[in-house]
Amino acid sequence: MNPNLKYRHELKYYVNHHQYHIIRQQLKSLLSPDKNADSSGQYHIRSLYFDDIDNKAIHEKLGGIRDREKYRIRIYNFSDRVIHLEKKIKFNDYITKVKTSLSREMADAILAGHYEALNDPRKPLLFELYQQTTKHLLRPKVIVDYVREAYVSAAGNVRITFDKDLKTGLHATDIFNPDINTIHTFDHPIIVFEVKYDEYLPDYIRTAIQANGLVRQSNSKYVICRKWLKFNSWEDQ
Amino acid sequence: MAETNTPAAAAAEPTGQTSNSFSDILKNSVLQNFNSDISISKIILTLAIAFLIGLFIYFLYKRIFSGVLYSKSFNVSLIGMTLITATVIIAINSNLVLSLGMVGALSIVRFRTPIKDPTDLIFLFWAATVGIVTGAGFYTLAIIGSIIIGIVLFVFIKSASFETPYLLVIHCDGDASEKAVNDKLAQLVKRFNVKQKTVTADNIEMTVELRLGSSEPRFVNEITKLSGVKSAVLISYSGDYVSQ
Repeated sequence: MNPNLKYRHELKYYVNHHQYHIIRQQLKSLLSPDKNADSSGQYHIRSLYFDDIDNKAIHEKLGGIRDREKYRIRIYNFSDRVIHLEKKIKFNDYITKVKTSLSREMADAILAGHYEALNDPRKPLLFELYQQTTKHLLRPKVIVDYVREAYVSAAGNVRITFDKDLKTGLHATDIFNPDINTIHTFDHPIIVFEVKYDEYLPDYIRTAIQANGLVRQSNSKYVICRKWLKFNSWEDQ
Repeated sequence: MAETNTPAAAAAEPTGQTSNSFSDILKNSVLQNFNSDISISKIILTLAIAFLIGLFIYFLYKRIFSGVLYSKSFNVSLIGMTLITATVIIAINSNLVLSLGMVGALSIVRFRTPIKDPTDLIFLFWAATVGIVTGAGFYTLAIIGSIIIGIVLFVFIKSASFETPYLLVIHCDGDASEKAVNDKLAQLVKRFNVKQKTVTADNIEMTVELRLGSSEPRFVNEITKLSGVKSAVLISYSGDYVSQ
């Protein structure tokens, strides 16, 4: 574990529409909507996840390895205005991420497979990604699309999100194309409810999010979407 | 068990019969431990005790739950767990062959939903244990054991928050105001300790955990009135302040 990083709690639950509306009504008056959101309080997130030749990220997640990490490129509302390269690090029950922004040229180079563009030792995260692409054959694997509704509170750095409409781009990796064909990953509309906070969760928020029948889940959007890509008939887990 | 029962079983046999082979003795004595007819009164007594202890576990879990989202379905399943395990153990108790078969049958039951919180796991295990112990007829063990486990869990999980813990998040502008805040806090609250302090240009953010004792939260007003204090927020929380 890296002491220079700020780790946070990230708890995930599945909610149905009914529970979603109840929790959302309670949160609306207590927390403020995320500043990136549009008038309806939502924004679209598209992530392109990377995995290496051994599919380390998916196997470690499925195997329940305690400490894991994965790389992704993330864009918002299909725009190339902000492109983030993120490394998501899980340590025990805590999660943190390291991120850096990418230029459109750089992102295009990565998508085209020209990883030399990342070979810049002055930028640690890019250089790390470069090393991963050469040494472990890290490659873009799957696009994950969803719509997020987020509420935030300064105390405790709380961020409560509802992720709706989870879709996968299957084998497409062209993230800047808004028209790629995506399919829904869940058979029925499940909303992923996430509670994220730094050191403590204020009691008034804890009270507000209580709803009946929620059980903490492990929910990796990468794994859910990645499972749609089947290369062999035995991969039917 | 077989060895201890052998003399009694052998003594019970008519003295004239000396041709008893070893396997006969073993069979008789082992089978004597299984009474194939289960009396209704025993079933009801066992299930009643299992239910009562399950109810105790249910209320304790509800009382000392310290996670983020309380799940009633999980809690109810604890009662179900005690009752079902007790029933299974009564059945096993009555039949040797069934008991061997059950070992195999139960081993294929596999739960895929991960239990994320270690405390939840302890409660689940406790419920299963109570079921096994009452089903086997050790009522005293089940009751005394559960009381002790309950007290220990209660004390350890709940000890952090016998008095409601509060966090005070203060933004102030410098050394002097920070000192003034500290002095004021020492006067006004029962006890406090600094959990976190972040210093940026012209801003000090301080998170302080405190116990109000009998004093009212009105002291926040007084702190805000101090010169240099930009804002003060008082938050009640569960007492779990986890920093890396």
